[in-house]
Amino acid sequence: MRDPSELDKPKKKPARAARPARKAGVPAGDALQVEAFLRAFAAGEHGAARLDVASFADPMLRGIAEAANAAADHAVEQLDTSRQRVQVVTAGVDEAIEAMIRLVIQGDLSGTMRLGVSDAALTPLIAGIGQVMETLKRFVTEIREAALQLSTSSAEVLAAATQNESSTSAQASAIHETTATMEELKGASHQIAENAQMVAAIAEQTLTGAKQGEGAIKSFMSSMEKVRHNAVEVDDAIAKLSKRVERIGTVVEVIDEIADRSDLLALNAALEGAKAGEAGRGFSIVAAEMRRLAENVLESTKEIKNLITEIREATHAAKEASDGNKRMAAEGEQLGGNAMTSVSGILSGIQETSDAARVIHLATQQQRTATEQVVQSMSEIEEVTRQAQTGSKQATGAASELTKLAERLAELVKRFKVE
Amino acid sequence: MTEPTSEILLFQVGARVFAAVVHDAVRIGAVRDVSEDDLVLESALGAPFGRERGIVVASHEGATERTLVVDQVVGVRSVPEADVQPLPAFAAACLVSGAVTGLVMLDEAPLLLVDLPTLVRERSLAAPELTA
Amino acid sequence: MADPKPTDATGADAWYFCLRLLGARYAFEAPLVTEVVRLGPLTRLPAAPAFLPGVFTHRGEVLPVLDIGLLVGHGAVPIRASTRAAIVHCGPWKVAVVTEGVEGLVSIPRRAIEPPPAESSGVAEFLSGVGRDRAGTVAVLDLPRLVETARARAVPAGGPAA
Repeated sequence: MRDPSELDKPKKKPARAARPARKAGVPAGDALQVEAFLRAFAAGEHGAARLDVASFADPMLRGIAEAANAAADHAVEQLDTSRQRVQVVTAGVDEAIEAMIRLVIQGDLSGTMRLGVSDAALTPLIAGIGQVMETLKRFVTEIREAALQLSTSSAEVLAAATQNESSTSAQASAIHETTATMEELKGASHQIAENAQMVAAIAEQTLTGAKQGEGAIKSFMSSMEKVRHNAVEVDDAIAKLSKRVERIGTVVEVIDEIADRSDLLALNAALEGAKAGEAGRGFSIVAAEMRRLAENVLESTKEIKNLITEIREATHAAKEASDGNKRMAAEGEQLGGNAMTSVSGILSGIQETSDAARVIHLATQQQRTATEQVVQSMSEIEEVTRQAQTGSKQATGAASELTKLAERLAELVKRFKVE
Repeated sequence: MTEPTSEILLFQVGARVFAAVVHDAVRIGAVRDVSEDDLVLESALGAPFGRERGIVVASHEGATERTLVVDQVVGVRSVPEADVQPLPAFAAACLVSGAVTGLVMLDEAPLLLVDLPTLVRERSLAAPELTA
Repeated sequence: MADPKPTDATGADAWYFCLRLLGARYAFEAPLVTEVVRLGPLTRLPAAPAFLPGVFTHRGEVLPVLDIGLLVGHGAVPIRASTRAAIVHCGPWKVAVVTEGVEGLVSIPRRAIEPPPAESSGVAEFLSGVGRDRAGTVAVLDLPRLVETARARAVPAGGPAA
């Protein structure tokens, strides 16, 4: 690279250094001179003194030397021109680079690139750079817009996520509470269900017992009915029996009467026979015989009469018993009726209780099922909520992250001056 | 049979069987045919359970007849005289009633021998006091 | 049964028949007793006084039974299968005295017999004295008087209605 300081130097002919150019005058020395001159020129000594052409004897050498001088001059001229061009381009490129650096460092995309130098060779470069800058400007604008949108969106998302988070949190805690409540409720309803079940069971038992009691009372009452009916039948039977017994009694009385008279006759006959002493002994024997016969009859009738008495007593007792039974049956029926009423009351009460208990049981069963379902749903909801919570937390976190990134981006982009 | 015998009428008053000499009994009758005034329902022997039989007894003079109501006339028995014994003196002396005069040994169980006329008469003597 | 010894009026020991009665020892003059018997089944006499619970037969003989306990208002002498009675003769009367137990003949010196106690009720009224023998105190009964008094009480009007 050319030293820029050298670029500013005005074009000037390089001072020729007086040099002893002459060599031991032979034309070869002139060639050598030319050679040396060219070599030196080739080596870069462009400021080397030109060949003193006049000193050349040889017209060819003179021509070469002139040509060499011209070449050298031309070269130098060319060189200078190039050098100038390079300087310009370099300056332009430097400027572009500078602009680019400015752009990069300061983010200033606002202006178009203005180069102090215009050079055709630079145009594509400048155009290219300009395109790059435009593109860059566009990118930056887009990014800025995007960053803004992003910022807004992420703010919204954050807000939403925060809200969601708080709401899901609230929901979660609410659900948790609800679940806890539901658990309690489940437990309570379980207990209620159990209690209701117990009540229902007890009611069932009591119902069974009461039904048995009812059954017992019913059978008791039907027994009483039977007893009463039986008593009436017994009364009838007793009445019939009594009539028959009376009829028998009448007959027996008649027989008894006859036997009695016979017995009397026999007795008196015996008495007379005894009084008559020896004479009456035969008579006494016959009388004794008659007495025996009469006694037999009397014995029989006595037995029958005893039997009749027994029967009378028995029927009397039976009648009394039957009356007693009837009374007892009537009492029993009444008591049974009372008991029935009570039992009916109990039964209906129990039925109600049983129904109620069953209803409670069913209801609590249903409730339990429902509660369980609710609890189940609740835990599902809770799970989902937890997931949502996690999600929303994540979302919030992400949104927060996003917001932060958006802010950073915005910050970054802000550095670029587009307008 | 050479052994002297006595003819004894056995009758039952209440729970006890008594004996009397047959000659004291006029006849045996049914109570229902007899008027109430002539009935002897209670005596030194006690009272009968029922009114099954009556022993018609003549008074000592023979003028009147009364009917002693008894539960049963068991019958007439012939007992050896030796089996008929008077009451011991002391016992007889201690009895207000003269109706029981002795004992009849019948089947090893002694029966009281009753003087029917005395029995009936004592009753009638006592009757005014009873009805008073 | 031993023949009763004739009484010795000169103050020597006299024989008494001793028996248990009313829980104590009683005795009466031995000659009164003819026999000691086991009491058979009694035949009750209607309307008889309390002290005459009935009659019983002994060897074909009908004997009245005298219950001294009922006579003096002490209470009936319990009659069991083992009950002994002493058959006594008191004048015209022959009775069987029911006992709580029979001791038998005892000898009591007359001078050992003291006057009876002053009480006039109960059995005391029939005592002729109180004696002592080897076995203890013996109440001496005037049995004839007792029997006669009993009879008199039974039929206050006098003899039986004839």
